[in-house]
Amino acid sequence: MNYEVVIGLEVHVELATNSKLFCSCGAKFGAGPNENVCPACAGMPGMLPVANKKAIELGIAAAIVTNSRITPTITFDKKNYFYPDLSAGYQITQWFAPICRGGYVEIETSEGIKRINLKQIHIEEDAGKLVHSHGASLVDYNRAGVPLVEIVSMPDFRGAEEVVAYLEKLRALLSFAGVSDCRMQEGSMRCDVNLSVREAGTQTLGTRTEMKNMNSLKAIVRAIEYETERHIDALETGFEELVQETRRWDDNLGQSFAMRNKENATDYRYFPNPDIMPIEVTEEWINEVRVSLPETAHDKYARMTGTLGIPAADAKIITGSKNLSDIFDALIARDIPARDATSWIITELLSMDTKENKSNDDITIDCGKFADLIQLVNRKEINRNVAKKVFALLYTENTDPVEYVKQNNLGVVADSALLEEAVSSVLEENANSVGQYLAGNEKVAGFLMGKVMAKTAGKADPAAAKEILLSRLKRMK
Amino acid sequence: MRFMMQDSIMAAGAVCTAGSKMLYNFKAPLSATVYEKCLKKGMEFVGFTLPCEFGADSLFDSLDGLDPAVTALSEGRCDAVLCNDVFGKLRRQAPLNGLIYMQPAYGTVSRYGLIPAVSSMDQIGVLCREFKDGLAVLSAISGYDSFDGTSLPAITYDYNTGREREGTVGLPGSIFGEIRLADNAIASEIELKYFELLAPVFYILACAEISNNTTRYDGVKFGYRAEDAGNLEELYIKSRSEGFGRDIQLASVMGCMVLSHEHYDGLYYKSMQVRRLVKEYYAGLLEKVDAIALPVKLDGRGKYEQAGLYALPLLGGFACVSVPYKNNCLQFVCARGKENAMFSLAWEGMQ
Repeated sequence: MNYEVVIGLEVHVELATNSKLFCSCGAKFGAGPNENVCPACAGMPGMLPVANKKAIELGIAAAIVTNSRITPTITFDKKNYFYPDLSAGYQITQWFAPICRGGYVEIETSEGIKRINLKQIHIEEDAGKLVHSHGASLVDYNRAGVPLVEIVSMPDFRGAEEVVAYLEKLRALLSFAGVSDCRMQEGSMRCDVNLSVREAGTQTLGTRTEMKNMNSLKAIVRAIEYETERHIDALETGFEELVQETRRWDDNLGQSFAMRNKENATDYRYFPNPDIMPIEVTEEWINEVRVSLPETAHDKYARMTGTLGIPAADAKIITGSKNLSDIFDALIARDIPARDATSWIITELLSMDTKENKSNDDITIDCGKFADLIQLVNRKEINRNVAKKVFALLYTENTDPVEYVKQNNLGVVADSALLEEAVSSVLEENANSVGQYLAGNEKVAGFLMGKVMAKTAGKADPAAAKEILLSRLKRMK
Repeated sequence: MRFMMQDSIMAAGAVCTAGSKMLYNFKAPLSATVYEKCLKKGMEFVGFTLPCEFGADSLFDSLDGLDPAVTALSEGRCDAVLCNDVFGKLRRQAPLNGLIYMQPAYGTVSRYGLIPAVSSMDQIGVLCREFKDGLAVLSAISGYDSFDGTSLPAITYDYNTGREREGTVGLPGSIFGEIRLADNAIASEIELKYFELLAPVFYILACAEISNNTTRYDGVKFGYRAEDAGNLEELYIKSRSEGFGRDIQLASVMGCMVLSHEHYDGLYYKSMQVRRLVKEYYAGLLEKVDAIALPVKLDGRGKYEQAGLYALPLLGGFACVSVPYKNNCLQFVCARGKENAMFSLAWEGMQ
């Protein structure tokens, strides 16, 4: 029998706000345990939630870039359940009137372009984190109250390739719009995979299982493949009965395990939060957000390949990552020609990155110093070889290229008297090679050129040096 | 002026129990807005009065056990007590004991720093002996607070009785027999529509919100924690069973039921719809009259039949004042913005 896998995704994306959703605590990743916590997000009584306007605006931005229908009056609601990482015993989310409904995202796969429909996007607060150590469980509420959007898709995916294309597209859309930095490793983008399998061509959905909190594309692909196989096996052999349940994916073992099933599912007892008045999202407000949105990846690609004359393949790499795009923009802003910026990013910066096995979104470099270095080369103050070495230092140790070149006297030697002197001593010291050259073996010129470069500690302007060397050799003939 | 507060309103550093064993050791991390405002006006804070657990034991018990705030005032220990009177105990007991209870319209006084019972109806009011004291405290604590998302934009809060004014009083003939009004009051017959629905709707919404507002007390972070719990579930069950009194447990269970998937539409949502109708009807009525007068108790009727009297202003978010009035005890209810007219009507009847 032919089977078809049906997948729906719930993607959680952390909003790029400075403060939490309902209090003024910082929302940045990386603080020490419970450093970003106040009585409100620690769940103490008597504190009242005041909605963060910026978070709602980022929600509106997410709605705009996913072609969604924005709800004119939104509400915040309470979702009740007990767990120690949930400080107040309830989570504030949007159940009755989410920020938007009914959008879509277009993806491109080997089979062409496909539209993935969205059920809704809602804004909600994150929970804290449990840390188990030394036989005790500790709670860190730094993330408690950090604003998220949950993007709920329709069950429109038919395989892992589409899921990956969608997550990458979503990441580009949201990071370019400034909604989130979408870093999966840091947990600012994570996803729940709802999966079922049915006979190909039929309409009814099979029994669904859910894998929560997946935060790597590789793991998602493996989990989908594993889970699809498991479902098909169960349907074929009847050996295992499929039940609607939440499963945990263990990426080390490459297996999924049952966590909780529908029987002990919680009744979340949603109800409107009486402490937060319904909020009107007016057309005026939406337009304000719309005009303030930065350039999309799509528009940037068009601009790069158009007026800037960048090859399509390069433009695709740069616009495939918000981070690379930002670096590109920063170089352009410092008067680096677009083609130079592109080639430096792709040939130098990305080769550093492959060595460290970082993703394009995680590369960091001081763009001011980067631009200074490119300028040194463009002004012919250092040659390309020196530049490569200095770049490595800039990348690993944040070395200032201008200072470094000055201190180590690495400036290009273009002074013809100095070059003449270097060439003279090379010719004297390598009489044999010179003899070979004069006997007709012109390849030896390359060897002699290397000697000249070495003589100047690699700093010679190669073109000038070569010209002097060749003219001297010619004269000796 | 010397003031006290119910032990559910926070003063930074002081233990704030809300009358519950659950919070026996809970030190307030900050001060309520109302407390700060009173101090700023030069009032002297003299202590706390103990409310019933989260202000809610009268949910299922009698309303007649004398509230410690009433005793504190009667004994002259202070001039005013800041209270949260959701269940009507104070609005009932104050005039019967020769005192006055003033409650602002919802959103007028900040709830920041008040340990919540029923968030959509919690509102800090003033229990006092002298009318002028109550007005002074109420004027001091009213006003917009950016820390309270339900706080309404500021209007001028200068509460007074402007005594010469005449006003119309809506009187529901259905529950009053003969009643004598003061000279400045013009009676106008009103229909007490939805009255029999007020109590059940109030109970459903109150239980839902109490059950939700008390979920944060779980023995994990602060407050009471059972000692011999073997695992997480046991920690929750034991801490909450030992930490809460009977009424909060009952309210929690009922609240969970009305919010459950099975009963949400039929009980909670339906109650919210009725609440909207009540609010619309009485807001319309309060445009036509300056205030509605209600008795503070109904003799010969059960607790739940009387609950509508106290629920009415809360469901609509209206201001009210409970006073000994001529040979009677009355609760006046008015719309936000018409408080001074209401105070004049109430004041006149006390002379």
